[in-house]
Amino acid sequence: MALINYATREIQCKIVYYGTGLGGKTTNLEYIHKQLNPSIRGEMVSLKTADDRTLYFDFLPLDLGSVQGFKTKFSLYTVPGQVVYNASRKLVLNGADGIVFVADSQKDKMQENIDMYKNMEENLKENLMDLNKIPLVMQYNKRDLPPLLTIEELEGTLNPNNSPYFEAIAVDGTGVFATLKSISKEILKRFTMEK
Amino acid sequence: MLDSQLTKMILTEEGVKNLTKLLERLLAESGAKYVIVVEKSGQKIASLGESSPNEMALAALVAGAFSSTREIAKLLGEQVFRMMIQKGEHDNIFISLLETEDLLTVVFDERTTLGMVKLKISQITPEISAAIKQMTTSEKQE
Repeated sequence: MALINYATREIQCKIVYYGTGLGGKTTNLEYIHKQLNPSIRGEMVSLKTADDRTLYFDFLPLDLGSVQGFKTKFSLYTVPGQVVYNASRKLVLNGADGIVFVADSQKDKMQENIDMYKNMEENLKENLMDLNKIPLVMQYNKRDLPPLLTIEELEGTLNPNNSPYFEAIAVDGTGVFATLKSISKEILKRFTMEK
Repeated sequence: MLDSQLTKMILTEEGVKNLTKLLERLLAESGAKYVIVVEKSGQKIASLGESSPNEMALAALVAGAFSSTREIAKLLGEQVFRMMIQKGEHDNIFISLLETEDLLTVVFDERTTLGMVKLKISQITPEISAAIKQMTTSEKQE
């Protein structure tokens, strides 16, 4: 849920990176944090387990310029990808203005991707949110780790609504900013359309 | 017409001014050092006092911590825990759930007491809830 503050002239939006465990959601945020100038990003907060897996969420605040005289502030969140942490996933998803679905491109991960996509749909429904109304961008990550699923296979199975998609190798940053730019643009487009 | 899923909350200048006045009163009367109102998805609505440099992260973590206690409450058969207290060596934090489901978070130290903070919060929360509600309803009429 975006928050429009006329007192400070700010729009605050929430982007959630959703996807399978070890799929690269946290890596996306870490890369963004590393590359951006500290003047436009805040500190990254990670709630991790002892073995470095996301326990609750990662959080990274960004200032992404102005739209119609309003400063745009984005909060980036990841969800924990492990199946057992569904309660946390549902909580983090609540109030999202846009979603990046990070799919693992490796051949043996298709079923996990499908399960997580379905899980996202269910959690959105339980939060009374509608996937058709929320900007969604697909990121096909780990394009450097064969054997790979083809883009056609991934698109055909995971992207029935033809949301924008990006190929990525999050560890070296390939596709990371293209994905972020696309989802933030999709979110802001809704504001300008509605105003 | 704004999409309700995208913009459930619009903070008007007037609304934020009213809310800030209430927060000023709360700080003055309770002796606390910092207060922040956090919307349930983790965004800041308003704040006042000796703020943390990482205010946005603080808001996200407060909402995260509180929503996880909500799940704990459910596991215990409670509908919700309405307040949460964290005690540190110097600073303490008191989080209270507002009627609007937003979170009033107060940071205080040894200059005041938990009892005083709790009392002042309980006295002022109806007014804070009303100030937030007014913003959300006036937005619906637009």
